Amino acid sequence: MAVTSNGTNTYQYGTTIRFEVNFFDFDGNAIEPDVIKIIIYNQRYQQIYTEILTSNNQLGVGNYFYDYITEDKEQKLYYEWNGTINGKPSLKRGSFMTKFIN
Amino acid sequence: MASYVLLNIDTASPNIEIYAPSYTTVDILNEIVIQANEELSLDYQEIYVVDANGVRYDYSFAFDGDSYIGHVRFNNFPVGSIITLYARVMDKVGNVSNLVNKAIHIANSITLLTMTISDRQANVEISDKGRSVATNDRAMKIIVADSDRSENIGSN
Repeated sequence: MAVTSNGTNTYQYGTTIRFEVNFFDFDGNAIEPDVIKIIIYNQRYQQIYTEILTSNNQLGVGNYFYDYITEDKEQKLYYEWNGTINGKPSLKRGSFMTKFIN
Repeated sequence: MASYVLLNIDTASPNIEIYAPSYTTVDILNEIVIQANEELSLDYQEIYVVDANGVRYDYSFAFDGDSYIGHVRFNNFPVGSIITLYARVMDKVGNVSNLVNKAIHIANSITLLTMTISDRQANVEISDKGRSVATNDRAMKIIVADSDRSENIGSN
């Protein structure tokens, strides 16, 4: 169960959350970056997890997912999708909360 | 008997920390938190950014008890530059914190890529149906026999 407040989803801690991203060019066509990373930050913006994704995480052209197992604690986390083309990054961030949901 | 009243006067400045990303882009709306170790005053905040040319830009963050929270998009700063965020706040009894700072790199993010992102959890169905328990409180019949045996006691 996810509870949404102020645009931030709250999940039961200890559960698995799926992050998904779609990369497009200016014309709205799906495009494949050279390197795709997902980075998880804690509330202090300290990196607690980084993963470079492979075709194992690919759903389609420019469409990737990552399943993240949350820690057993109440906290706010930020996630960052980071795609690189010709050595230049493009990134976007989101946030979510984990807590014990009764 | 003599009595005493001990007064502890709070003269300590609040310790504060800036929670902000070390790099960002001009497109990202950054959540930035000025976190203190005690309750803060609503009346005083000094939060500003100084760019690479030394120009100061002031910001006003939302008060949240022991923190100030702001959502800032740094789209008025040159891409590739490093800016410095400064913060100073005051506790409830007027002690002013140190001026703390954090450097933030405005990354040279290309906009060749646009992204749609989402987070979700796999559907999990739960139920908490209880097993029904039938109880009965049928009492066992107790038959109490109350017969008097009379004896004839003869007297001679």
